[in-house]
Amino acid sequence: MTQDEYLFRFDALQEIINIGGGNAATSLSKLIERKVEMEVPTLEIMDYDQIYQEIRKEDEVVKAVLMNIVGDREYGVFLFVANPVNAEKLAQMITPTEVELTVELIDSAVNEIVNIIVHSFMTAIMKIIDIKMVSSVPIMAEDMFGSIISSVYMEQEQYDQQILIIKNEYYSLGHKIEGSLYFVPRPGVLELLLQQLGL
Amino acid sequence: MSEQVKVGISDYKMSEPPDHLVTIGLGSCVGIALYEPTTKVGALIHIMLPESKGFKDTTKWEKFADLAIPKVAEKMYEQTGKKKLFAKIAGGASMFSFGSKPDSIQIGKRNIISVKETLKELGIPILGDHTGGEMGRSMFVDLETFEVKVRMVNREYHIL
Repeated sequence: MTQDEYLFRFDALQEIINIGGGNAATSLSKLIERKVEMEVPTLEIMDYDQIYQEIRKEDEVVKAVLMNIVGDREYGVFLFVANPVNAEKLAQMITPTEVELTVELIDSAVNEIVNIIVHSFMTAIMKIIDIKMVSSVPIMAEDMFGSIISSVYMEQEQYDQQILIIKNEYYSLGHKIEGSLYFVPRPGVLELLLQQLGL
Repeated sequence: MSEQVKVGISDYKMSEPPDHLVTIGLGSCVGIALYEPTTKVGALIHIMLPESKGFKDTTKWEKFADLAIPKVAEKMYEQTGKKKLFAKIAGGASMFSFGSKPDSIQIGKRNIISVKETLKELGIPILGDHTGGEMGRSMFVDLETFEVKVRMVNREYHIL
């Protein structure tokens, strides 16, 4: 592959992630009835040390929600990551004020939010690439970021020291509420997406 | 001055007192602390995968349980001039209840099995073991005493 072809494919992938992510931001915004902003998607090969320095420290405790994406084959997973305080704020926004929030309620509200944004992400992508995909029910964990991210990549058979980080970063109310949505593909899935686009 | 020597993912470090060896954020990965009690030389390995079989590129040997443990044990034999080592291990979780999958394809469980088999082949007894489950772990190894603290989120330290 020439440098130009490589860059072209890279741009195409970033555009897909941008469209999916933008759609997800819109549905999140409707859900919480507030403006939601999204940064330019990250599409970058990084090693773990770099991830822990530049994205999030490995011992930072996070709430993470995972959804498996399947169809004719396993495509990978979406992983939503937020710090527990932000997750609680998100949950509050979609819960009637008179309801007292328990841990179970917070978790189920966050799961539902992730369910909705992942669906809108996928719907947007499926329109472009014409592949049928469905998602599994969301699964939540609260643990160290390092434990979560390394295990998720490993489970998707991404065994390299250097991994491709595909991530959308959302924020609302200035930067008071932030969350990240990762897509971790199985090997060969990105190539398949590009093929569908004729690239 | 005692120093915390940090071990990254797919990495190992060897040191002696007063240093502590530390690895943070084990999920399905396994941390293996090796120790030679008379010289108090110890090592900590953070492996990602059970075995190197089927991988073309094994230059990063610290990644694989079946390569990393014998190599580091060999370095410890050289360093200490002794042949008797002991081990304490932690990690190998199945985060997100991937637990519903059969054991044979769960990477955490496969890591634990491979680590234990490799240690057994090398004749290294396991003095402490905190593996499996669904939670992430960090390991803190005191090389003076070979006390290993295992830290988890929202729980007390577990001492091995």
